[in-house]
Amino acid sequence: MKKNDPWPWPADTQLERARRIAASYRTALLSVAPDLCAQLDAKAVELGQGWVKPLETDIADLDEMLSAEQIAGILFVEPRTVRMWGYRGHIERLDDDGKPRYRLRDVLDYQARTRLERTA
Amino acid sequence: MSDNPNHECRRGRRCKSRVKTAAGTFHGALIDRPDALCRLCEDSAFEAIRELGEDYAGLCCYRFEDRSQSQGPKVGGTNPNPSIPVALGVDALMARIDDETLRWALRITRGDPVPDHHVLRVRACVATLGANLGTLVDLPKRRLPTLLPHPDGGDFLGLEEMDGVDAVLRLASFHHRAQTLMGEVETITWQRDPCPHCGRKALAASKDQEYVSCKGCGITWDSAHFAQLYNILDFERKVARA
Repeated sequence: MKKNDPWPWPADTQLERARRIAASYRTALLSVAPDLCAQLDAKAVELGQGWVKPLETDIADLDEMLSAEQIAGILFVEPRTVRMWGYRGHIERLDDDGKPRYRLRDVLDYQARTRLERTA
Repeated sequence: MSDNPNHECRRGRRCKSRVKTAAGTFHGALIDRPDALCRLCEDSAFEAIRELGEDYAGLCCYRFEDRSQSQGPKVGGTNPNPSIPVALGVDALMARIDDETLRWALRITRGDPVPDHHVLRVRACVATLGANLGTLVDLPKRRLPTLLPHPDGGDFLGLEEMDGVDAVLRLASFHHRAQTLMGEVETITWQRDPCPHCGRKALAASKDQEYVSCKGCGITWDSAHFAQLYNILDFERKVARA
């Protein structure tokens, strides 16, 4: 973190800063041209950049046990990153019939902890 | 971490307020009373039990819904293992909800009469349980008759030791199973930003997009206030700061 960083959210990584700026542009576009915004959203999702818009999901319970792929889809990280967090013991890996499952709350807690460490 | 495992939440590593030790293992939250649930797990289970009457009524309707595929595969002969035209999973769950709610309601009311019709009976039992959840969770351990799986297949009537916490967890699990069976899951909109309070990326917008709340810490903002916290084009805040 730079000493006199004017960015209001100092814990943000460079990627998060870029995404937050993109989200601001999207919000502005949505308010003046919703159709155009929807077109761009669809194109971005088609190109594998689903992070650009809020995610609609039926997963409402943070204690739900999910696969690495499901968590990756929600948090927009690589599934192998989730598996690596489990392998390194940052999040608990709970096997369900031989399939590794992770609790969404653990992943969110781990991300929040690392975010807090960046500001410390 | 407590040396006595009885002072951990009975849900163990599946506890909602579980803690991680230095060794990396997860344990249930510490509680004052032995063999009980932590506050979060208890509240969640109580909430689920209160929904059981509605779940049962929903399962009744769901049982008769037509879920057959209008365009199945082309029939090329007689299927040696034809599918059963009855929703057995739904029937089994309904029977278990009926049995268990009746069993625990009778233990609380000490044998008060209940309606004969199954829907009314479940509703009455859930109402009794809902009004006496504190009593239910504190029931002492007893050996109760229950159907147990027979090693050679089928079930047999045996005795199982259960206390109030077992009852609460079992009844709550029926709610979750009913929701899963009926596919009644709420669709929510997840924001990509971290919560300004707890830092978890668990922000969800309400259906009408009027409010944003954090599923991690439970704080709620109205959308205008949330935009002030998050939008870079927040001119008002810049002006206020200047």
